[in-house]
Amino acid sequence: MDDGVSFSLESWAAWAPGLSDSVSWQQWAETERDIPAHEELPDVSDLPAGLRRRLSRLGKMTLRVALDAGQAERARIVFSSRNGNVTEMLKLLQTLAAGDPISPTGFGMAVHNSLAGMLSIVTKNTQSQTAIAAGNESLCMGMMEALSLLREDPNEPVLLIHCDENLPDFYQPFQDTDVPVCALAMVLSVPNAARKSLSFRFSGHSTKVGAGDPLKSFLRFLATSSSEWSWTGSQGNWQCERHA
Amino acid sequence: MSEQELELKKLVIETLNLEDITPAEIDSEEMLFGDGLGLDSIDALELGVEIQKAYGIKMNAQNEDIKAHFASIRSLANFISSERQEKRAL
Repeated sequence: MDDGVSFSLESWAAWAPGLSDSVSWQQWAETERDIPAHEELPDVSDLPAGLRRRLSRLGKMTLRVALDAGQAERARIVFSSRNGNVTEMLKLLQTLAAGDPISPTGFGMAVHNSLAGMLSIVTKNTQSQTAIAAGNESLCMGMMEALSLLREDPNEPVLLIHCDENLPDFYQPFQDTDVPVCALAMVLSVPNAARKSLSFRFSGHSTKVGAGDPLKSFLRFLATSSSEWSWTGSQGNWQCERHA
Repeated sequence: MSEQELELKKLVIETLNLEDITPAEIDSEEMLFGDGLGLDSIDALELGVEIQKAYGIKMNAQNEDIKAHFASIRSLANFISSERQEKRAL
């Protein structure tokens, strides 16, 4: 196996119900607890009211972590999500099926790159944006995309945002039980002397049976000092390693 | 404030998810867009769809008068009343 792609993690921020700052994530990571699932909204009172009122919970989570991670004004953006604004999409499809006129706002917000767009409106960031949906490998494919962008232009950071919301009951057959209601944002840059570097790699070999969604274990890797993270998805084995 | 105006204010608040605003706080003659309530063009489309659903009145975006109808709650209420009367007369 090769050494993978090296990068530096400038900062990260995550939000889940009851977990909104780095201290709470560290405390969470030291236990074996699941990511909490109770109803709660992130605080987005710092956003303009006109924009806030159009955001679903997924939207509020996304903008919260993106702004908390920093550099959202200048970084290139990669947005990754398994299901995106699926709740809004379902509402639109049901309205269409009933033959009623659809909500223009709902239409605009249901597309997969809408939240990256909302972020760019808030931050006035005109850098490139990519939106990714790749099933249970969405987080890993988002990493690949972000690292590719860094290779293309190593001078500017990349902000990777990954988030998901509960899947509506209507889509129950597609439900993966352990997709958390959670958003993660990471500012990635090329390896530099200021920080420890990490490497991310993929091997097409499945070394073990895939174990659900990767976000929970990846967050635990970020919030603790463990040296390696590994997860197997449908395409193969993904690893992230922290260098000493 | 007429019944129609109150109903419209509630529809605007609910449709556009205007947090922390009550019908009493919207002046019927206040500008809905720009300086007044600060709504934008997507809000106008959204209101057009809701008014169509609630009152069966189709707003024609090509209509020259549409801007005047959407100016305030009062002008919108007057427009809806007259459209409904016209429909009844048919």
